[in-house]
Amino acid sequence: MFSFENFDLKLDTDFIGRNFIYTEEADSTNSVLLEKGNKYTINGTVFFTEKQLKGKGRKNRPWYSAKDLNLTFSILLAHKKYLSGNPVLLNFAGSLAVANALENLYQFRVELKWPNDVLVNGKKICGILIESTSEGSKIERLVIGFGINVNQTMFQGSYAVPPTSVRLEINENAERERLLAEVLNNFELLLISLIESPETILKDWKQKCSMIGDKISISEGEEVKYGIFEDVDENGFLLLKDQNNRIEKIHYGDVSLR
Amino acid sequence: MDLNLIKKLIKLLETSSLTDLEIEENDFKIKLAKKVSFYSPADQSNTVQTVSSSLAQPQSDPQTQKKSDKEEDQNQHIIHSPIVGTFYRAPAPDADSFIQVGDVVSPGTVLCIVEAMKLMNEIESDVSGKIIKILAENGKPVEFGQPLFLIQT
Repeated sequence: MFSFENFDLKLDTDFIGRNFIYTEEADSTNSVLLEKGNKYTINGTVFFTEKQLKGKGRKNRPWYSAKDLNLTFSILLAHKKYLSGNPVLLNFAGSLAVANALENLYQFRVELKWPNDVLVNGKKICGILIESTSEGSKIERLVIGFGINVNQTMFQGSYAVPPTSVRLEINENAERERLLAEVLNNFELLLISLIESPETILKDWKQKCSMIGDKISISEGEEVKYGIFEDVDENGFLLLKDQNNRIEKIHYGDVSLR
Repeated sequence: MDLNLIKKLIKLLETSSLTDLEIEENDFKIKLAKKVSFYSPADQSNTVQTVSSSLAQPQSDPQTQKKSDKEEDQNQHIIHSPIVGTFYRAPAPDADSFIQVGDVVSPGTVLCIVEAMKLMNEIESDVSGKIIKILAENGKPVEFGQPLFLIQT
């Protein structure tokens, strides 16, 4: 059972997670928070579920997570202060928050994979999906969904990147409340840093991305591109250098080492 | 000031094909305008709103009205991309497009998705009207502020 007391004791934020909604079951934490005309309007609201029935990743790929063992939650950003900059960089802020929390609590050596996967020992420990809605030409609401594998030990099915969990890495149960608070504490700091100096976020993210400089392939549907992961630009997009030294800016796709 | 006269003028404007009506007589000056739309309820509310604001400031500069007309380019509304990313007309590769040219949309109708890294941004219409042009190509990159849809309001 999730202990609100333990979570609250460790939470050290001004607004992220101060409005905390806990549910036993939900379709998708992102969808619940983003739904039009819902009752959640407070900036920084965190919606948490023990069992996500329709968890999803990019292109509606399913995200499975065992009940009561992991951290499955979304954060709502509804204040224009946090939406007016470059919301794409929230991919980096979100994955860095998880990376910093895992390093602080468990001394993991964390690697980040473009655009926002968090890996430990080459295995995926956290996935992030950001969804937003615009009315006309302005982003009005944005949610960042996190799925962090904490105490799950069995993963069924096939994965492009093999999964792991905190428990599999430390060989004992991890305290979910403490990890959630640590992620949210870090996320709030990174969110402020994103407004004040986005270049710091880019620098920190790049330091943890070991693939820069490597030969990679990027696949999207049936299309596959090959080249060298040259760098990320100021918007966070991947710069792929082909064999003729031409640089292409990549907005999306699944990256693998070649 | 004759309220009945104003009511008659509103009715006259509503039933006519005129979009603007301006009358000046001695101290009395009134300016009425309506938005051309496919929804008559929206027409009425727009007309009433314009009347009340014109009455409150009878001497207001007609330039303001002209300027906003120009910006909207004769009741055509453009939706721009809020982020750099890839433009999708459907929620998934095998799904139907959200909308087609000729569709009538209202505020809240989903028009497209722009994806950047793992940020999926769903763009909804903020106006009522008819899609007259889709200005970006499915699956292709779009820039920040790039026009995506032209809507006849």
